[in-house]
Amino acid sequence: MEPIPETSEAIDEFGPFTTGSDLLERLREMSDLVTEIVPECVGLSIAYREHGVTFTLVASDETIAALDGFQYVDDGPCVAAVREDRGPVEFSAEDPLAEERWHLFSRACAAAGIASTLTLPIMADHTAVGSVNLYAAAPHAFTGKHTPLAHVLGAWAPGAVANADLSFDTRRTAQQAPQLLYEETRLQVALGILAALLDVSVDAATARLQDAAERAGVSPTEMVELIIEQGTSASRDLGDA
Amino acid sequence: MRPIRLALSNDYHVVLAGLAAMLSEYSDRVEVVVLTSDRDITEEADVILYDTFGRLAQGDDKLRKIVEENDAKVVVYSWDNYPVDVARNHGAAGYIHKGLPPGELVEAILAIHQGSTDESAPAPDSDEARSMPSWPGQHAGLSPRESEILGFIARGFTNEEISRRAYLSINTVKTYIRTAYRKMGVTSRAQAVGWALRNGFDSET
Repeated sequence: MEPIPETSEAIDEFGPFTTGSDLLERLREMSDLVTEIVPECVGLSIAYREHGVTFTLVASDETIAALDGFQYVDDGPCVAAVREDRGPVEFSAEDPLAEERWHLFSRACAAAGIASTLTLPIMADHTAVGSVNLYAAAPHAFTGKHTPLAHVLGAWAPGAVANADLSFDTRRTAQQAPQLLYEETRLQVALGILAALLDVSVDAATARLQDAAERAGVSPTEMVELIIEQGTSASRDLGDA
Repeated sequence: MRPIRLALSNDYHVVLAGLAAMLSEYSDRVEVVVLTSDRDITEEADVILYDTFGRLAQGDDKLRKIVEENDAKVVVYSWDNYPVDVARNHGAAGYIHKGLPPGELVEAILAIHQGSTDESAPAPDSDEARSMPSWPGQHAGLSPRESEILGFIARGFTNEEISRRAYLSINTVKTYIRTAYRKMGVTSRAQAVGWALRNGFDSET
């Protein structure tokens, strides 16, 4: 399995997330260990509570190209047809978009082939610090394999939940990771600028930022950008372009 | 012969103070007349030693403006993520590598002041900043490189931006971050920014 583009971007741009080995390498190693136990496994997502983001790897064969399609078409007519078991959808051969639409349909149908999932909590000091989701094209692919999977993933087998995410929602969550990490980092930078300008603690700066955003009727994100822009201007005034 | 008058320029006071303390041993040859983070050098100086610690080479307008707005020779004091040709393009009169020990640093400053080219300052074997006495985060065991990268993070740069503008590979950037995180006891970028703010890094610069 390989990381989806947003997972690679998040780790490259805002990583490394670990103080040990490279996270991308670790994720690939984990996916290799999983597929040794469950060859039908075609997707793996890990959510880290500490970082507030999800990372996803998918198999790079045609079946998983189909999964991509499923994510993008979402609740379109093709997927609806699959969900409602209405059978094949026909398109006119004269329709210039027919082939494209046929591909869309076939991808959606294949995506619906995600037949089993397994969710395992990752525990540390008796607290859930994250979770792993595994996806397979075959039904019951994970049956009887919870313990060895939990072992290679550092997860907790008794907490396993089957088929909780047949629509592969974690993939969509993982696509948001770069933006979430960008916003969190910008927030911290803005708090630093605010704390320095007002000569207050970071906690006090947090409260001031929220209050200022409410008073100004703007979102905290907009206020963050305003503060960074003004902080940069102040710095430039001091001679630092 | 009177000592040459030297202005020290950098964004971090701790860097300037350490450099001034180190050069004080050579006061018969170089007299430090001002430490400044501004681009306007108020004291009359013969040479401005522009320490690039915490500066990204690409688009470094501060160096260009210091060169334009001051009569003194501007000497870039740096390491390999701030290439010589970039410094020259910004108008620097010379370039001294931070790997030089203090005595050789002074010799190089004098040579450039007297009109020699920066080829008179031989490149050291190591890229370690042996002549850099202090930097932010030093108390926590951060190396100068790790400290510099943390400063970039605290200013909101992504790894790719740091890589591109500091002429380092992205894997090198991530390696420095990883070792710095270990020393700081943090595991995320947000935590790292917070740590930097509490430990003398100024995200405004």
